Amino acid sequence: MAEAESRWDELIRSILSRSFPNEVVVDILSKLPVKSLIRFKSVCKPWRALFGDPKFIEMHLSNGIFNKRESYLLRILPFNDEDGSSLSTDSDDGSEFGMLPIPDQTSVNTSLGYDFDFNGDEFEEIYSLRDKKSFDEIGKLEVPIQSKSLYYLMVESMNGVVCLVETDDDEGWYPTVNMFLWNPATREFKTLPKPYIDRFTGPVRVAAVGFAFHPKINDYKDYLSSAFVNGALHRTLCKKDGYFLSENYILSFDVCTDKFNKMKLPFPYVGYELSVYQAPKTFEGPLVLIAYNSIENCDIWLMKEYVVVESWVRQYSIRGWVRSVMPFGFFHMILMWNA
Amino acid sequence: MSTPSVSVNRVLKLKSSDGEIFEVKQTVAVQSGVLKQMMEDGCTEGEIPLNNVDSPTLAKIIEWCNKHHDNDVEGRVLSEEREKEKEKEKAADMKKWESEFIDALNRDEIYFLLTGSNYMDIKELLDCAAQKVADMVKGKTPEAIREMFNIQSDFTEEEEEAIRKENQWAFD
Repeated sequence: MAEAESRWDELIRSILSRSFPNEVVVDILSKLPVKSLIRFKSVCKPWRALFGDPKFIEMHLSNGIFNKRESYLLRILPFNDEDGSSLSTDSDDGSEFGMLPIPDQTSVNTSLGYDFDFNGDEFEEIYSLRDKKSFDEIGKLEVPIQSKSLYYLMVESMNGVVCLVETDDDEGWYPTVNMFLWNPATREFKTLPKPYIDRFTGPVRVAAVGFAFHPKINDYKDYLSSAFVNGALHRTLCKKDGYFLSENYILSFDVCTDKFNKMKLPFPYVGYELSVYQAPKTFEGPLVLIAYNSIENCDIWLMKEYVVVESWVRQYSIRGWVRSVMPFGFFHMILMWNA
Repeated sequence: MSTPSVSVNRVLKLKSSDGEIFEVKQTVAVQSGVLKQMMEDGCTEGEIPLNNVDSPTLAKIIEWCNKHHDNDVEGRVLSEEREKEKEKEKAADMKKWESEFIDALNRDEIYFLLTGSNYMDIKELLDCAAQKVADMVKGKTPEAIREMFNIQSDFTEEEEEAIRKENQWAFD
């Protein structure tokens, strides 16, 4: 700790700007988008060293990652498929991602209303992210390295870094799995060591591979879970009833008591892909649930009070062909993997 | 945290680097980490010299602090339920006021405001001014940045070229 402090002081002292106090320079730099920082690496050596320092990275993240104006949803675009009605497997062009800014919540609420009706089995669409006022695609990203298999699966995003998985199995359920970390803002791409994953044969199958950020070594560890909230890990699970998928729920695992807990979803979502995340700070609640099926529908829910099933509130609905959506802080991200 | 030496009606006398005296309520002055510390230590009698802050800058800083103080006081009068809603509106109004406040300043004024709020340790103002400068410089070239921050490059030409090549997309 003391060592880290003195290194940080050393870094600050080395900035040597004759126009601004050094700590002010650091403050300004920590508020810049990643693209500017990458460019300013060539200003001088002390700046380059600063941008790679864990403390600076932390400053940069806390300045903006959950700051609404630079939060985005990342959507995988269909494979070269113009009308988006089917998945063409003979194309290898599955590595494009669309970015959608998360619309400002307050403006969505006031302009489109927030009461939603439960209409038999169907949710009435109250607001659509297709609404140009609230939700526009702002850009396309390309994964720098083409997948050797047909496509990448996007399994998780944390601090703006996306975890991608490719598998040689068409079904997408394991045998060999290659995992990658991709930081779209810095365009860095890193191959992870091969994980050993046991094939899950019980009545419950693991529906998500997650990964966690390890702040001490400033790197990411992959592990089998998703959101870490209230001292518990959360993942969505699907119960199998013979060949049929019967029930979805969130399984939480309290790391202190070693206890598992089942949590109900706001809607059964049978046949949907489900994922659960720790909610961004600007959301008033601990957990976000994203449910999508590839044909028509994607809902994003917020659990306002932890473990209170009645407190699930639908935040957004995306209508249209959706492959995968996840919350994603785009411009504010970890800068380096610090070799 | 209670600060018994802070009272609503008492004022501090701040003296700018060019000798002008500004009177500020103690309840407003607590936004400055430095002044807060002085109040806690009970050493705010007489004029408090702020040798790094000139009078136009100090006037701006006090304007900022007064505005943020008034906003806080108003907010507490409302009932609890209304408060939440009102709070959101207030936050939006304050954001607007802040950006107008900052946008009205020229480069020099922002520079003095940055150094002044850093010196007086007023975190919110410092953040706001630093964000403004960040927005101003984010599209600039490394050369322009060196000039603005008055920094000498310690890279060789080859090293600089290598960084540029490696990160070409960031230079486009």
